[in-house]
Amino acid sequence: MGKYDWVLSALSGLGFRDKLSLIKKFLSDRKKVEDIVKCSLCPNMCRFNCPIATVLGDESVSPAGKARIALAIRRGYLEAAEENVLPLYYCLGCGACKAYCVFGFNVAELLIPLKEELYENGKAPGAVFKLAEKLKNYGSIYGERPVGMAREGKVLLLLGETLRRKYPELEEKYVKILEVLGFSVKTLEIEPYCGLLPYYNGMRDVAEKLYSELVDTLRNSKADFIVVSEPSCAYLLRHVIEKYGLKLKKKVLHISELIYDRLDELRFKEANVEVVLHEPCALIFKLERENILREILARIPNLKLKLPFRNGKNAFCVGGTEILEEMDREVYERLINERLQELKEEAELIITSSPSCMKKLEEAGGKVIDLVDFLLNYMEV
Amino acid sequence: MKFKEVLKKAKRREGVYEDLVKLLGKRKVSASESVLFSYSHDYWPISLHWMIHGEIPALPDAVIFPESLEDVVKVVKYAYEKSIPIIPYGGGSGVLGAAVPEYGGIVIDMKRMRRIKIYPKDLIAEAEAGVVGMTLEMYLNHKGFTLRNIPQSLYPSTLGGWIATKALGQFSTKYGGIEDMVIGIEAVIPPGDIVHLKPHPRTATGPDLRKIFIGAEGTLGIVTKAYLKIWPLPERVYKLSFMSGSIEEALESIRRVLQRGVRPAVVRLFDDIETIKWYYWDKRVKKGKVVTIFIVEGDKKLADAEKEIIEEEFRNAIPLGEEPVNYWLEHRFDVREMSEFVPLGFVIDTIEIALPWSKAAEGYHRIINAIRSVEGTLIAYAHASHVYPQGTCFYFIFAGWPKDRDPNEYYQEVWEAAMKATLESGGTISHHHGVGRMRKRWFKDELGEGGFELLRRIKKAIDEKGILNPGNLGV
Repeated sequence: MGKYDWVLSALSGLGFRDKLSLIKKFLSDRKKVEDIVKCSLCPNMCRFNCPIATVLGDESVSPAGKARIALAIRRGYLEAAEENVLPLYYCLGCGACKAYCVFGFNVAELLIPLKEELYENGKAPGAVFKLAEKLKNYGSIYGERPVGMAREGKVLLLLGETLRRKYPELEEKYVKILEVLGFSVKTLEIEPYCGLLPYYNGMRDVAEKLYSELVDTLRNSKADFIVVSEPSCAYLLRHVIEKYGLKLKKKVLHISELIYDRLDELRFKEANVEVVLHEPCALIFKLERENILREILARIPNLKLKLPFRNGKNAFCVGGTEILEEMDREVYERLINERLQELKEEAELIITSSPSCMKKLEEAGGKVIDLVDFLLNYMEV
Repeated sequence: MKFKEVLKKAKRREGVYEDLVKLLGKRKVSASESVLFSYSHDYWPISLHWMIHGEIPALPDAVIFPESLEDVVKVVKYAYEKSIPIIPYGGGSGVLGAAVPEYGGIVIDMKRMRRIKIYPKDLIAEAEAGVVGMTLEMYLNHKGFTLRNIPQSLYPSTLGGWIATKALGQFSTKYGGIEDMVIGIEAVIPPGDIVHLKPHPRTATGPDLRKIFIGAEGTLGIVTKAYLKIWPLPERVYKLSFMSGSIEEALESIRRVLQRGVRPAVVRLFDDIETIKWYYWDKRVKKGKVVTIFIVEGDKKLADAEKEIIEEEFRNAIPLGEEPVNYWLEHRFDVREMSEFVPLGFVIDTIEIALPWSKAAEGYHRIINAIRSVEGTLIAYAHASHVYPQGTCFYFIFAGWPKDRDPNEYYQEVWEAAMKATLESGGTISHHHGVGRMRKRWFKDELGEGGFELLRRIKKAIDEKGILNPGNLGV
C-alpha cells in the first residue's frame, strides 16, 4: 500500500477524482507552508530539551513560544519593540530542539532572518549591538585577540580564543596528542574569529567580515586539514560559512573526531578514577557525534565513567553563545549551576571536550579536565 | 498589540503588574506584550486557527513565575484580596481551552517549581507541579525507576497539568491514570491556605480530599506538589501485535484479555482507516482489517503468563510480531498535523470518550458516523486505547475543510455531533483530556443535575469569590 492510501479510503463523501485532486493539492500546498509557521503551531514537543525553557519556565522563551512571537512580529500583530523582541534572544543556539523536532528544525536558525532584519533596523536588543561593536573593533568580544606561538606543520590546529586566554597550558598538550598521532602541527600567532555569535544573532555585516577573514586565513595556511578545539568552530566551518557564500575545501575536524578516527592506534593504562562526562551540545546536536566521547573513554581500562541524567541527545548546553552572558548574567549563571549540580550528583571530576564549556563549569565551581589532558595522563606513549 | 481577543470577558486591570513586582520581585513577574500573548492560549486547536489570523482567545493582566510554595501563597492572597482571577499554567498543551484567561487576571506559570526527590524504599517520588513530564520520567529512569505516565504530550506537558486534567498515558492499562499515581498532594486554596495531604499507601480518613484537585482544571486550587507511586524499571518486556477481521472481533478479544485479569501496559486497537495509516508499509496488513498492538511488561513470570493469555485470546487473529509495535514506539511522538494542516485551512481535532464493553462497538460506529455526517468533514478515524475490565476509551481524530464556512462554526458542529452521539451511546464525554471551555456545554448532561449541583457547591465553598480559573468547566 502507498503512504497516502489511507487518505483515499478515509475521505468521505467525495468521488475518486475529487479525492485525488484534494490529496495533490495538500501535497503541493504543504510545501509552501513556512517553517516558522509550522514551528509556531507545534505544542512545543522539544520544550523539555531546551535549557532556556527549562531554567526560565517562561512560555515566551520556549522554542515554539519564540517562533510564535517571531511570526506575530513579522505579521505586525506585535510591535518590534525591545521588550517584545527580547525573548527571541534567549536562545543558546545549541540545537537541542532539533533533536526532538519531527520536522528537524533548529529554532535558532528559524529566527535568523527576523534577527537580521531587527539588527539592520536597529531594533535588536542593546546587548547585540554592544557585542557587534566589539567584534568589529577587535574580532573578539574580549578585546584584542590573544597572541600565541606560530608553528609550521601540515595540520593546522585552531586552538580557539578560550583556550589561548584561559588555558594556555593546554596548547602544548593539544600539539603533543597530534604529534603522537603522527601529525606535524601548524599553529598561528593570531587566530581568526571562529564563533557563532554573529550568525545566531543576525549580525550579518559582522559575520560576513569575520567569516571571510577566517576562510581566507585557513585557505592560505597551506595545511592538509584543520583541527579545532571547539565543536562549534567545526560546525561553523562545515555548515555555516556556505550561508555567506563562502567555501572551504579543507577537511575540518574537532579534536575528538580525530582522536576517535585513530583510536585503534592508541593504548591506555588503567585509570582507577571516577569521572562524569559533560558532552558539549555542539558535538551532539551540530556535529551529530553522539557517542564518540563515550567510545573514546571506554578504551581506558577501569575508568568509572558516569553520565548525568541529561546526556546524549538530551545534553544540556552551558551557555551557548555569549549573548546570554551579556544580556542576562543571572540566567546565564542559573543555567550553568543547574548543569553543574547535575554533573556533581554523579562525580566530582568533570570531563569535557570544549574549552568554553570547561571555562563556564569551572567558573561556577566545578572541577573540570579537558579530554586531551585526560587522555595524555593515561596514554601509553 | 494588534491581536483581537475573541473570548475575553473583562477589561484590562491596571496596576496588577506593579503590585506583583512589589510582592515577588521583577524576575518573577512579566506583563510585556509578547509574554501576555504567549499566555493567551493553550493548544486548543481552533485557537491555533485564530492565532495565525491575528486573533487570540484572551490576554491575562500579568504572568508570574513562582519558585516556591511561598510565592504561590503570596499571589493567591493578593488575588483573593483584590478579587483577581488566577489561572495555573503548565505546559500549555491542553486541547480544550482550560488555561485561557477568559476574565483576564494572573496566569501562574508553575514551571520554575520542578524539584524532584525519590524515596526508593517506599517507591515514592515527590515532585513539584511544574516539572515537565519527560524530565521527570528521564530522571526517574536514570535512577532505575519509572512513573510510566507517558501521554503523547509527555515532552511539553507538566505534572501539574496532568493532575489538573486527570490525564493519563499510553501505558495506563497497567499503571493507571494520574489519579492512581498520586498518593499525596500539596495545593493552595483561597484565601491563601496551604493544603498538604500526606502520602500514604492507603488511608481511610474521610473522603479522599486529593481527588478534589485531580481533574479540577485549576478551578478548586493551585496544585504545587504531588507524591507519586513509582516502579522499578520492568524486568521483561514483550511486544505483540495481531491483525483481526473486524473491530468487533478485536474488541471482544481485548475484553476477554482484560476480564481474565491481564493488565498489559499498552493496548491499542486501530480501526481500519488508522490501521492502514500506520501500517501501509507492512505487506501483511490488509485493507479492511484492524491491528491491535500490546506491550506486556513487568516481572518475568507475570509477563510470561500475560503474554500467554493474550495469545490465547487472539488465536483467531493473525500474529504480526514486534515490528508494528516498534514502529508505533518510534513514531508515537510525531506530532505534525496542526503544523501541516492548519495553515492550509483544515480543521483538525481529537475527541476522546469512554464506553462500556456492551456499548463499545455500536458506540464507535455511531460516533464516527455522526462526525462523518457533518458537512465539511473529510476524514474521521479512531483507535481504542486505555482499556479496562469494564470498557474502553475511543480516541477519534477528524479533519475537515470548511471551505466557505467559518472554521469555528464547522468545528462546533462536529463537536456537537460527537458529544450527542456519545451521550446517546451511554458513554462519558471525556476520557482523559478533560472538560475545559470546549466541553462545558455538555458537562451538566454528563454529571446530571445532582452531580453538577454538588460540584457547584464544592466550588462555592472553596472559591467563594470565584477567582480560580473563572469560566472553566462552566461551574
